[in-house]
Amino acid sequence: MEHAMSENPNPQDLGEIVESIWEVFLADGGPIRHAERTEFEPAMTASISISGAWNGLVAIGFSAQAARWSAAHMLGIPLEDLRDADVVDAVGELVNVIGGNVKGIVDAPTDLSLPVVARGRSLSEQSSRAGEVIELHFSWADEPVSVQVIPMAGVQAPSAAAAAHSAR
Amino acid sequence: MKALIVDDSRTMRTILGRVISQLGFEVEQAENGKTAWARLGAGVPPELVLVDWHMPEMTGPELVALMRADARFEHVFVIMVSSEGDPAMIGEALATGANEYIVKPFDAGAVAEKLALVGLGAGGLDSKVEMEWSMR
Repeated sequence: MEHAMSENPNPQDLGEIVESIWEVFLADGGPIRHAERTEFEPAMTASISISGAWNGLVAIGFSAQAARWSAAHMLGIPLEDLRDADVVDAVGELVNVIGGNVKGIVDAPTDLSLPVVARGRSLSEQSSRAGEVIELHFSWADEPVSVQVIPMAGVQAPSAAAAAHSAR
Repeated sequence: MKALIVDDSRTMRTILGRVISQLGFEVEQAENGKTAWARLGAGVPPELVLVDWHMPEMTGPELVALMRADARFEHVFVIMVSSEGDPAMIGEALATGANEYIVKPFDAGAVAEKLALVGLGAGGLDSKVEMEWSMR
């Protein structure tokens, strides 16, 4: 993927990143499609922070079913054999790859944190924002998935509350 | 041929393992550099090591540096696999001793081609896997 370096990522770049990752890792579950904004309360949120010349959080929210299907497809195992740790690991890896690709289009140099996975809502309302939040909504296998990029004022890791659920 | 996949994510180890085993490798896994280093020292070195960058206990570059300082692993082909395509990081990985660098999400065909160029792998993905990946 080729993206222009910019101060903040734009929605088109973010959408392309998400779609390309789904095509490679989750194609078996069908394509991910842009969807209208919904009052979607994620059952699971994975986030990762970027710090340095650009600071912010990248977060991805899943319905419970979307999170489980993601893990089942990536690990190649039936839903009934999934452990909670498998789901946490899979959604954490997805945000790690999205975050790494976002890191590639913001001002350098930056560092990427390890991913953090939390049950429940997005981290966006817990964060001190320093710019316009990009929020994209998708539908995958008829389940909602949302992706946020949240510019922040300085170096901040995902919240301690969320860290309690860290996969790694 | 043996391959060791080093990544703290079980998910990524599984995805990489599927690709590499289709190329004819017998795959072993380690969840961080420290575990991988212990495993490398305990047996016959693999022909291939695929290693993540960011891991607890011991990072990918730290593992690669240890390997390149030890003559037993001089001929092991090392691929760094990371979600970050920062040219500075790629340069650092290669300077540390990695032979190749792959950015996630990676194309399985590209992995096969990189290995085929140095005579590793069974010559390519089998037709079923190749078709699956070409559809992505």
